Amino acid sequence: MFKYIVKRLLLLIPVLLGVTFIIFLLLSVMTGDPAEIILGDAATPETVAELHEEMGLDKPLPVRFGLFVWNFVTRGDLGRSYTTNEPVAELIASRFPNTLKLAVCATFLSVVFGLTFGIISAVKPYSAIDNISMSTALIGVSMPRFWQGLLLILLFCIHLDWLPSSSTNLASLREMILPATTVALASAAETARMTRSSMLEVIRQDYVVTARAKGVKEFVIITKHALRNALIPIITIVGINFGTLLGGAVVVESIFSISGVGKLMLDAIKARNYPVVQGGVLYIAFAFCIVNLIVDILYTFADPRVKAKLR
Amino acid sequence: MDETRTTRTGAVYRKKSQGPEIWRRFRRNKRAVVGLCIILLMIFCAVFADLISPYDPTLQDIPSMLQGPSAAHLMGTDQYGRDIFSRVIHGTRISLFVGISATAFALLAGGALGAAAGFYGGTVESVIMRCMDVLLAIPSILLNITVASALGGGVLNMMIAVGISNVPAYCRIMRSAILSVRDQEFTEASRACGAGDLYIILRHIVPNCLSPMIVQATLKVGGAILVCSTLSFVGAGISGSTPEWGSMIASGREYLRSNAHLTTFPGIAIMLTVFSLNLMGDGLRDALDPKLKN
Amino acid sequence: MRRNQKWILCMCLAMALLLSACGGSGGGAGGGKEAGSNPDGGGSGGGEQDVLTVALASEPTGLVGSQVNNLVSNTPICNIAEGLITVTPDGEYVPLLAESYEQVDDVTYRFHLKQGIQFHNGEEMKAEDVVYSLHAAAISPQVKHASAMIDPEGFEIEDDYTVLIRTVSPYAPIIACLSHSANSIVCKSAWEAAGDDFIRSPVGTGPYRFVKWTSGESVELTRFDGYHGEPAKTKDLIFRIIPEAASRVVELETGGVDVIGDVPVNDLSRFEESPDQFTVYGKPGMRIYPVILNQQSEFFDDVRVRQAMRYATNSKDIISVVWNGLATDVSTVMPPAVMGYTEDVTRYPTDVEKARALLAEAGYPDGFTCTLITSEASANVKIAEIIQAQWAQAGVTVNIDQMDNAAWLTKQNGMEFDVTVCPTNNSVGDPDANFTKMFRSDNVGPAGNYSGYQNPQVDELIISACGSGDRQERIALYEQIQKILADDAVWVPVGVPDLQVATRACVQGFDLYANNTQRYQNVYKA
Repeated sequence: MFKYIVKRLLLLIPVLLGVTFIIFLLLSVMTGDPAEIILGDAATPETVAELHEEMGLDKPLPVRFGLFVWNFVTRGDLGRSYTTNEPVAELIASRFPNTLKLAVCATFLSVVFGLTFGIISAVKPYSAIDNISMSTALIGVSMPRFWQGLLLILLFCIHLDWLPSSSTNLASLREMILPATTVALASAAETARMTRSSMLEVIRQDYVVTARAKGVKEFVIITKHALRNALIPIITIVGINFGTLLGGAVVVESIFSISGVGKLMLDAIKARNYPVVQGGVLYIAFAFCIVNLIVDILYTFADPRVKAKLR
Repeated sequence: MDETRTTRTGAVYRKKSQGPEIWRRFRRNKRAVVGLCIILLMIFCAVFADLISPYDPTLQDIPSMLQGPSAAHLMGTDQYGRDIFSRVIHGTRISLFVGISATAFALLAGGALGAAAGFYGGTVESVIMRCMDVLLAIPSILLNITVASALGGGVLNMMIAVGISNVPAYCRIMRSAILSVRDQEFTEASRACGAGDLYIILRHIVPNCLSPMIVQATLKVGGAILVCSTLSFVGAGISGSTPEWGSMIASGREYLRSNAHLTTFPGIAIMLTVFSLNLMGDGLRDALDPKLKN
Repeated sequence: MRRNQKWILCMCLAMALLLSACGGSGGGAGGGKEAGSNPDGGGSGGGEQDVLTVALASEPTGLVGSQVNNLVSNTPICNIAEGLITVTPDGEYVPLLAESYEQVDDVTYRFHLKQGIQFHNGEEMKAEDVVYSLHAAAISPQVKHASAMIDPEGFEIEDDYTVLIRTVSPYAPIIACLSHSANSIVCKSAWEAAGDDFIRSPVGTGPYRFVKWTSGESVELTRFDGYHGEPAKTKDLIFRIIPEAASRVVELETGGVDVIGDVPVNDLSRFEESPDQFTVYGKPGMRIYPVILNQQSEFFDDVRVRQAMRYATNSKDIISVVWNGLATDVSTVMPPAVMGYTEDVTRYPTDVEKARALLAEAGYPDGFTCTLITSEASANVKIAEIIQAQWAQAGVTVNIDQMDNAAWLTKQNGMEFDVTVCPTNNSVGDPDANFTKMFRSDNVGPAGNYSGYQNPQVDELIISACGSGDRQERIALYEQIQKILADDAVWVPVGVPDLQVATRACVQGFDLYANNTQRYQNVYKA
């Protein structure tokens, strides 16, 4: 097990290097120049050149990439934001709590609702409740999140005036409800669909039939025999969703004015704030890979067979 | 029942009877048929958009701006007095095109890479799969936004920007599908007859992995449409006077309080399209993979 | 070119992927780069009435005037630091940190500083602080529009309270420039001690002193008790960063903030309808929205084509869609609130037939197809879309190329467009800000002359208007320039939108400045 984890962590290194390099390339082909943005209407060819030198943008791409990697590896330095001059690591650290709150809250909601409806549907397939919850789930995955968010704002903030529509730092549960719901809707729907189909598959298997024949209580069959074995695909989907959310819910964060990692990245891309984009993507990729690793480790608890394979 | 029996024994003659058999199974799934019908209707709208829509979707009529739905304007007018109904109809064209072409792009690119990885194995495989890991490690929406910003707006660039994040998924499906058939007897037999790599891949392996790819693709067209509209919404996609649903919602957003119809109708259009694509995809999956149906 | 770029991108992507795949043994990344969470959510406790909360549309980029160039940053800055000169809400320039000033010769001004003015750290403001701050501004690339004419080598300290300031050449707008927050005075010793961090923790002489800047959330200021003038009426001043316009509106309605600027026009009427809850301040602003025709492109070097475009444009319609009618329809290139404005220029009433005739005369009987670039700012996009429809009636097909702000700036600076929508704000308040940058031949391209207009006569007039110390003479010169520019149909002016600020009804003492700065010294909640 330990060996496996170490191996996975080592594999992370080339992946993160690749990610960083791709981002460097993409940024360099983007039209737009950070110096021009910072200067605004004070831009002249001379001032732009001056600022390029200050930012190190006059150096060729491979050199910049090398410097970035070198600074990070030797000093853990990701550079400073072009616009606010804050160290990128601090910037991300300051946005991370909000993103984490949103991710945890949304994942919790989506697991609770997704599992509940998924199990009910699987236990009573083709019943009315199955049809209703699965159609709802399908609608849930079919709605663009930004539109969902706008509809929720329209209903709960504007017409009913129950909840705040912006929540910079998600200070209270009240501020959290709408963004978390918006994020959770689609993933709950996805979880429910996945739960249903993998439960159905398991329920048909012989050992469940045997258990039933032995007279084991239905509740025990569902929770102990069926659910546990159906868990792997569910864990995967919940894990992937959580990992993605740690990178920030770009759209939801910007609709609800949440000061999180996703919003930070979107703004940084638009402002060609290279250090923030590079550092941010590196962090996000790292977080995502770590969550993936944790998910893979969780498998071993859900399914001992996987553990055997890892050895 | 007759049909069931045919299915069970049909495995032997799979090659010949597959098409009609799948269609028969698909047809019995009412939800899938509803989805198919809506999609056909959408395609019809997309093809004959100019005939169906009562107004030119870019025609501005400023005196009659921001009107609610009425007989003259079924879905009302936007801030420039353009007819929203006509714009939604024309939007079908763009959304379906981007959805399908982005998926096709991802399918072809991912499929080819996955086939190569699965078939050759060894270094080729680990290089390709490591590349896919890199792509997967960047959250898809950020990847989409960055690529879209790098390429610039426009429908064709959207295809790549939207499709790229799906490449790894197809690559993995294709690879695992190939792995499962690579060493089977018919492949070996073909090789023994002197067939080349490409021939074997295209003639024997690909047809045997098609069904998971098709299912995945159908389900992903809807996803691609969502991504495309999201990109337009955050300002990295199709914009301006082009009637794209996502950008219609984005530009109608500032009128959310006073004129919600600006965002409601394009929103419903996106939802309906993706919903029916998903219904159809689910039906197709069940039809192609009869084990899952009881 | 574009296609090439794409290919390069694809190739590079492939190579990057390969590289990462092969490079199994790279450096040792993957350290503990997780974030240390800060549990302090940042709430505002304390006396309810003594806190004023103001919404900011984006995060400030810094809090020292000479190091930033954007309106959002200047909002907190002008409450923290002050200039030698200040501007009144009516647009008068009066000494603030200076007791008085006099002009010594064409380029030299002597400023007598007020004595006993304290910085927030308790030090007294002296001539060396003034020179240090103004020198920083004069050499800062960020604020060329307000400080470039100050000679960085020309300062002279006569004694602790007397300083000579020189301009590079005779330059009448210098007094207006010194009122701009780019030239505000900050504490030399504090800056030297803090180094680069000073931009995030400024020390000035203003009625409020800096307390805390929470990244992405807020900037907090508090009353400076040692202020040289009347102390601020409210104790704490908090700027909350709320990027979404719709959210700012809701926050004002629910009392989350007390003041919002740039109120979306669709929400204005609702605020105006409930005066018991909200107060709305409106005033013609200093930002003009033109559609700029690039004279270096093949179509617009002909004055007849430019005139045709002006005849084809209906700015009334644009104003009604974009600003709900709350903007001034102008025929010239500067806003009415600035000295020297005149409407006595050639006008181009909407006349599609005339536009077609002029186009035919210029050799385009069937019109032509051109490209318009715009950023994603809502007003710019709307103007672009309406222009597209209006010009289509005259036979001109406009392809809109909408992009993000960054890409748009680059294309515009590279003159890679036929038409662009480019609003400009006169933040200094002097008419020169509307001419030198946009119309002088030597400023074509990135420096601000995006129309590529080159006219030696106009160049000379602009320079002599700058150098003249006589107000009436300057006004006459600017009127003459505007006439020439209108005859040449250099821009297609669209409108000058009103400034709109909405506050909770309990907020008293608010003054709207035409240059859109917000000063909170006299503002309080009743």
